[in-house]
Amino acid sequence: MKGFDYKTDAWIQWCPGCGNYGILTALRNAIAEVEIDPKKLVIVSGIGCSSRIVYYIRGSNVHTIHGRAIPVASGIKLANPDLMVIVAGGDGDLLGIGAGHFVALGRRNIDLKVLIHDNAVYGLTKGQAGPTLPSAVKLRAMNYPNSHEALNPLLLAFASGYTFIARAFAYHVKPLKDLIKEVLMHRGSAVIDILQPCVTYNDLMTRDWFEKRIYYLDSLPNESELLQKMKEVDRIPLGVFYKIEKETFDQKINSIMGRKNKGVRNV
Amino acid sequence: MKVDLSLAIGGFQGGGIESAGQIALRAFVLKGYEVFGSREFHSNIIGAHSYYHIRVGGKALRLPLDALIALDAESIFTHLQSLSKEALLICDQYSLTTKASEIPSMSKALKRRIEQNYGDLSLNKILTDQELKIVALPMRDLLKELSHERSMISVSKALNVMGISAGLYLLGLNKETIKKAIEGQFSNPGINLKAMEIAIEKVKDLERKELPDGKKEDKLILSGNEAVAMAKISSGLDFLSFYPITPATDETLFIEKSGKIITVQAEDEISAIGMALGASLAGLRASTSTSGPGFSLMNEMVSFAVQAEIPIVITLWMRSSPSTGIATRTSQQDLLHAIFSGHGDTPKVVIASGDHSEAIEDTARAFELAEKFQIPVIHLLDKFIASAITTVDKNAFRTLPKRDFSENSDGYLRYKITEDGISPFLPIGRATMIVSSLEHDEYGSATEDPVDREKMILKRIKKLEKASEVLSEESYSVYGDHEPEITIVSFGSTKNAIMEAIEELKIPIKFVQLRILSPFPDLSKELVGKVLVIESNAGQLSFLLKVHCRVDGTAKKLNARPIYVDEVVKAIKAFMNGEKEVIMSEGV
Ligand SMILES: Cc1ncc(C[n+]2csc(CCOP(=O)(O)OP(=O)(O)O)c2C)c(N)n1
Ligand SMILES: [Mg+2]
Repeated sequence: MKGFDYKTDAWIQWCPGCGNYGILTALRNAIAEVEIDPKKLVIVSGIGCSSRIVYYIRGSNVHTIHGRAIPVASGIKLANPDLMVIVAGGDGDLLGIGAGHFVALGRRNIDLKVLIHDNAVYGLTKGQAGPTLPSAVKLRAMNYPNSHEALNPLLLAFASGYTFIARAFAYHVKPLKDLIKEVLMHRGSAVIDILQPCVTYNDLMTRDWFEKRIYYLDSLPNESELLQKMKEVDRIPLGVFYKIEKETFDQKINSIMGRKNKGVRNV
Repeated sequence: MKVDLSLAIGGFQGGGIESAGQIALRAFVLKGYEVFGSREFHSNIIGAHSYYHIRVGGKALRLPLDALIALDAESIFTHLQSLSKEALLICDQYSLTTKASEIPSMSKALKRRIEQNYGDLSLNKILTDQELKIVALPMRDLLKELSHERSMISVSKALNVMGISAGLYLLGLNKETIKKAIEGQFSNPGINLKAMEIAIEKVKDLERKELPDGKKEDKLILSGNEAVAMAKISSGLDFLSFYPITPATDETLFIEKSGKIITVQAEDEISAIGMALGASLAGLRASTSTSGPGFSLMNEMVSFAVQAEIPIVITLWMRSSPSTGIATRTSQQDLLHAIFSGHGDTPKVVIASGDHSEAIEDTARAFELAEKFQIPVIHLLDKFIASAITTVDKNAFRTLPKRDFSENSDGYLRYKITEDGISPFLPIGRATMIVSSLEHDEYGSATEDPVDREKMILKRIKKLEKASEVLSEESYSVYGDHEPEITIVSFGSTKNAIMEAIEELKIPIKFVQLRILSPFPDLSKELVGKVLVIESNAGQLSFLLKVHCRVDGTAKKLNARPIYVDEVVKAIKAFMNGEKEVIMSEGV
């Protein structure tokens, strides 16, 4: 045990009971168990309630702007491949305004771990529909029922080329921690869609609502059942859906350019 | 005898106009002359009219043309009114029987103007009472001569070389020089050398005067895009991310090709600058390049770079706007866009270069300033410089030392308050920290405290004040007379045309050329007599100068074409006669 300390003295601003607390604990525990040096731990986030996580875990962190964590994280990882770079953000941040970058990251397979704090609402702007909110649903703060269809983050990730795709539940801290540990070991673009109840604005998809629907996959789905598992909505499967090894973007760049990634020289 | 020539070669896009222009440039450089070549083309891949304008004996463009090598009829129609009275016109015999109305690629607007001026007549009728020296070559027959060994289609590609060879020969270059230029242009010049022989053979008995040798110098011949790319490489650029856009792409592809620099084609300009900022945070020397539309997308990131204090060089190659505008033509319309980019109080540096040599110098300076003050530096250039080719000193390129990361990582404060506002920089991965877009305390933790907030905003402003002190001397160059009747103020690629115009006018004029536009320098002591601003936009520098000092008149270029010496001469005269607003409309 190296006994790294990841605590910060920031007061946590999330609402009492928010699913983000579960994600925070699971992430901090996973990092502690893997013993990542806080200096080499880089959490990059966008803007939203969830993105505040960078203030609550000691690291070499970057709080960017709404939807743009992935480009900044990509630059950091390509510049210094020795760092453990994690992207955290809301469903609005990563799948709404930042959706183009989410797709591009899958296509590149840069070694970044993306945690989607998926509460199906825009929490910080007070409860508008998020990209994963089912259609026709009217939540507390919405004027009308949702006129958009819900986006399926797993299918988008699969279509984009992510090499590790999983789903988790924010209140199941231990399985989430184990999943994050697995993701930390993966080489390539990885995503966990973390179902995260918003206790203030999402009065439909509550803890109770999720607990009635979620179940864990027994094993990695095979090719023939993969898409069907990803599409399931009445019951919601959790766990790892897809996992493959593939050349990463920096490896490709290096082989094209016929040189080793210089990374940060003299650092 | 000072050799001073203005010539153009025109034809359809894809017809080797650029190679022909470059052959001409090489040939005149080999002969020992100063050259400047500018490429004008449509936003089109193949078929539309494109031309190369070459100035020999100067670094600015002049009209009228002393010679036109027209590979098709459209070229003659397009440049008809730009020709000097006794200009040399080399063309295809066949072109002369063509009417404007018969040319499908020609714009309706130009057809209308020609019809108004001459009626819908064929060229030989239009040209009968002109004093031009017309050399009409039987291009098809010449190509047939060339086609003994190959198909007509493959030899038709050598039309450009035939035209330019005949032209250069008649302008007074010898065969040996032309041959060397062709050999320098193509890795496999065989067919082109034969094309040259055939063309010169055809015109060898015509009247010509051999040009004297100039002063031979060992210089590089570079486009503006290449000059900046090489300057970035020489400055020690580590990381470049970009999204393709004219006229920035050629710079980025040159850098990518060098194979020495991590180069990433991003999914959009937001990502392009975002990745560069990430790489910079991780300690690399990073940059992105774009033009107006892409820079619009980067705006939010500019504000982030200011707030989070991340060094970044953004090379902004201005083109004709607003919106998609005329994508392949020049302008200086992004001056205010650059200076006021990013929401909030966003101190930043904006540098503008007047020509290739300055662009090289400013590229290194941009990195120095970005890294020293941990701010975005926007390097303003334009399409005119991007694709113009000229000679540059071989040792114009500087190398820069690595970024300094000597700060202790224990107790590191990313936003430490210091006397000059500059907090020591450690890269991500070297200390725990938070780099934040939110208002933050010295560590980087979010804060909304009014005292913290005030301190931080003053800290960021102080850096620009420091930059202003450091830069004061270097913020502008002064040329010409120091007790003038008028002072001209300008920035960017108008420089050489203005310098030459002043030389020609022989009246006491002072020229203040701005190199740094943010922080805007104090010009109060420099503006003597009446003040004329010259710029290629609707009055953006005028606006700034009015706010900071004073302005008496503005000469504007709005037609998306480069600026010419003679129109500047006219504009200055008009201003001295009391005109407050002059529009310079030369160029086709
Ligand atoms: C460019 C831009 N547009 C809009 C906003 C306002 N905004 C802040 S957070 C947010 C959405 C947050 O939703 P999500 O990303 O799902 O995060 P959550 O708060 O739910 O965790 C929006 C629209 C912004 N900060 N920047
Ligand atoms: Mg959300």
